[in-house]
Amino acid sequence: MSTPLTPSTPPPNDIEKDSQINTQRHTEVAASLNQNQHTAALEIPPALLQRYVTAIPRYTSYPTAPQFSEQYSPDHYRQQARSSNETLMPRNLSLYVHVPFCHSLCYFCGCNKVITQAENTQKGNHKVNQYVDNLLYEIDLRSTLFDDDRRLSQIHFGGGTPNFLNKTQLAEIVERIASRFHLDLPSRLEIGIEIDPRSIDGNGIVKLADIGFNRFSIGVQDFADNVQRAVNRVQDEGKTLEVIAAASEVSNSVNVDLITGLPLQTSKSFAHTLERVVNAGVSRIAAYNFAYLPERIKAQKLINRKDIPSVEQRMEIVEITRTTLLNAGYLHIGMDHFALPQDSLAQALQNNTLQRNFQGYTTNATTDLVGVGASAISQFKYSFAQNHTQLSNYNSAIAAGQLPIARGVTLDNDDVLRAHIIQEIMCRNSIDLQRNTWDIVEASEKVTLADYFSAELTSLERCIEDGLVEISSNSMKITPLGAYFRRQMASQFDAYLATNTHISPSFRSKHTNPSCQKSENVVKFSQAL
Amino acid sequence: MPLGIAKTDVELLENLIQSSETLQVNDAIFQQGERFSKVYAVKSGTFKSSRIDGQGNEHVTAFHLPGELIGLDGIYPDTYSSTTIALDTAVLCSMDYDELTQLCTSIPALQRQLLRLLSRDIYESYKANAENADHTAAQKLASFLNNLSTRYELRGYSALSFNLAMSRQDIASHLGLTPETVSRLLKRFKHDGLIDIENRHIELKDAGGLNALIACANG
Repeated sequence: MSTPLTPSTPPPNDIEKDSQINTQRHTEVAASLNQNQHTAALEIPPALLQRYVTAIPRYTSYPTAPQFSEQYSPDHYRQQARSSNETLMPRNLSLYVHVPFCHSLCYFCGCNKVITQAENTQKGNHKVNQYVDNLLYEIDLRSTLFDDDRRLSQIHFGGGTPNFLNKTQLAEIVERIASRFHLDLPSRLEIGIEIDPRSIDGNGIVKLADIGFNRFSIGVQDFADNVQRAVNRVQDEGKTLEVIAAASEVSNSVNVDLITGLPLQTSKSFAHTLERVVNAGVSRIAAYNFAYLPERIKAQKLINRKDIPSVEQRMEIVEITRTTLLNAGYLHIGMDHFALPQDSLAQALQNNTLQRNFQGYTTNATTDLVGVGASAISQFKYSFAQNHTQLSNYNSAIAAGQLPIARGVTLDNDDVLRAHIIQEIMCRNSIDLQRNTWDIVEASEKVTLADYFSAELTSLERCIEDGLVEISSNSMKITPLGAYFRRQMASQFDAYLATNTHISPSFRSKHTNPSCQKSENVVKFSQAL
Repeated sequence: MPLGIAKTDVELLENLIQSSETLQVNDAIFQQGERFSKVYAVKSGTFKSSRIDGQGNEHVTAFHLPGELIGLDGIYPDTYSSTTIALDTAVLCSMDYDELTQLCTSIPALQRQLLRLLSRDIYESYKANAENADHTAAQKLASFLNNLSTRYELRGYSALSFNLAMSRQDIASHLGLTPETVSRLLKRFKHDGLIDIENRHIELKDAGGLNALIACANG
C-alpha cells in the first residue's frame, strides 16, 4: 500500500512525507467515507498491493515539498498575501503553529524537532521562552498582511511536542492570535493540538480545554512494551488511556495516531493496540505506515534493522488494522485514515467538503494556511512557503524583524489545475470531469477537465482494469477498493514525476506559454468601431 | 464593420491600425497627464483606467472589455485623463487620432459611428451619476454586473457567464464601496441565488432578480 513497504530507495519525493509533512500532519485524521462502502472488510488482493508498492508522495501539497526553491523570498510571500486579499471573495484563514521541542527522541520520527533535556518549568527555560517570544512576534508580523475580513476559522498546534510548552505559554500564544486575527464564530472555530500523553495527565487536558483547545490528537503509535522500547517511546497504557478519556470528556473530536510496521511489531500485538483504541471510542484514527529510511532520517539509524517486520508481516498488520477498524464501525477516509460515521470528517467526505492540506484531511472549506514557527509551511492558492527549519536561522530572521521564510514555490495555472484534480482524488469518491478549467483558475482557456487531462486519464487504464476507478467523460468514480490507492492514482497527474512520460514535456519542463491562450477572445479593430 | 462602409474604406481603415501589441498584467498603455495622440481598441483581455487625486488616492474610473475603445476622453483636454493598465495578459491595437479624423472626412459613416460612441460614453456617465447618487451598495454592485453583462453581450460574448479580471479593491474603488462590502454582497447574491461565483468566474443565475434589485429602492 502506501509509502515504502520495502526499505529500498524511494525517489526524492518521499522526503516530503518524512521531513516536511509529518511536521504538520495532525488533523490528518480524516474520513474517506465511501457512500457505497460496507462495514464488512474488503478483500485487497495481495498481487494488487505488490503492484502498487512504490514510494509516492502523500500529496498534502502539489507541487510537493522537493519543488520548493530558495529563490522564493519574504517579498514573494507578501505579494501572494496581497493578491489573496484582492480576490473577489477572499478565503478564510487557518493558522498552524509549530512547536519543535521534545523531551526525548522517538527513533521513527522524521519531523522537525529539537530534543530539549532542560525542564521547561513554570518559568520556562531560556531557549523555550525565546522561541515563544519569537512566535508572538511572527504572529504580529503575519497578521498585518491580511485584510480585516479574513476570518480565522482553524488553529492547529503541531510538533515536535506542542504540550512541551506550559499552560501559560500556550495561553499566551492563543491570546495573541485572538487579538491579532479576526476569529470565526465560536461554533465554527477549531483549535487543535497534538498531544504527547507522556507529559500530560487528565487535569492537563482540562486546562488546555480552558484555554480554548477543542480538538485533540493523541500520539499512541503502539501499546506493546517491546515495540515502545525499540523506538524509544515508552508510554504507559493506563496513563495514555486516561489522557484519551479526559480528551473525550472535553471534546467531540479526538484522534489517535498509530503507526504500522514499527520494529518488533506483530499483527497479534498490534491487534491489542487497536482493540484498546477502539474501546476508548475515539472518533478518528490515523494508522500511518512506517517509512524506514535510515539513510535519510538519522534517528532511524538507532533502530535495529533486523527488528523491522518483513513486507509480508507489514501487509498483514495493515490488513488487520483495516478489518478491525471497518468491523468496529469506522469508515475509511482514504489512505491510512479512518473515522466514525458521526465524525465531522466522515460527514465532510459524504458532503464533498473534505479538504486536504499540510495538516492532512480537514473539514474546513478551502482556507489560506498561515504557518508560524520553525519549518512551518504556509499555503495560498498560488503559492507555498516554508519557514526556516533550523531553530537558529528562524531565531535570527525574527531578530532581524523579517518574515522567517526560507523557501517556497509559486504555482502557475497548470500547477493549480493539477493540484485541483490531485486534491479531488485524495478527498472525493466522485470527481466531476465536466468542470471547466476557468472555474478553477483565472483567465485560462475554457476546456473541461476531461479534455485537459485526457492523457493522464488514459494512463489510468491499468487502475480501471484493477477495479480501482471508473472513468467516463463526465466523471471519475473511485471504488471502495480504489480508496486505498488514491496516492497511486493522484501521482499520474504529477507533472514533476519524471516517470510520468504521458504528460507533455512542456508541462514537465514547466512553465506554460500564456500567449497560446485565449485566441478565441481576439476581435479585430474594425469590429471595435 | 457596421454601417455599410465600402470595401476600400475598410482597407483604408485597417491601414491605420498599427500592429497589435501584447501586454502583461500591470503593463500601462499610457499614464495620466501624458499627451493624447492615439486611441486604442482592446482585442483581448481587460484594462483598468484610474486617476490619482490630490491626496494621492487612486480612483478607478473605468474597466475596458474586448471590443471597446480606450482614450476617447483625451480628445478634449489633449492629455490622457487616467492611467490605463492591463489586468491580465491582453492584446491591444492602436490608431493615430489625427489620421482617424482625417479618414472621417472621407467616410461619413465612420464619423457617425465615432460620434455615436462618444455620445454613448457621455450618456452612460450621466446615467451612472444620476443612479449612483441614491443607490444602495447592493444596487451599485448589481448594476455593475448588469452593465458588464450588457457590454459582453454587445460584443458577441455570453451575457450570463463571464470572468471578472478586476480585484475586489478595483471594483470597490470604482463603485465607491469598501472591498469588504463588495465581497459580502457577492456572498449574499450567491446565497440568494442571483449569481454563482467560482474563483473569478461569474454566472448570472437570475438576471431578472438582479434587475429587480436595481429597480427596487430598498435593495
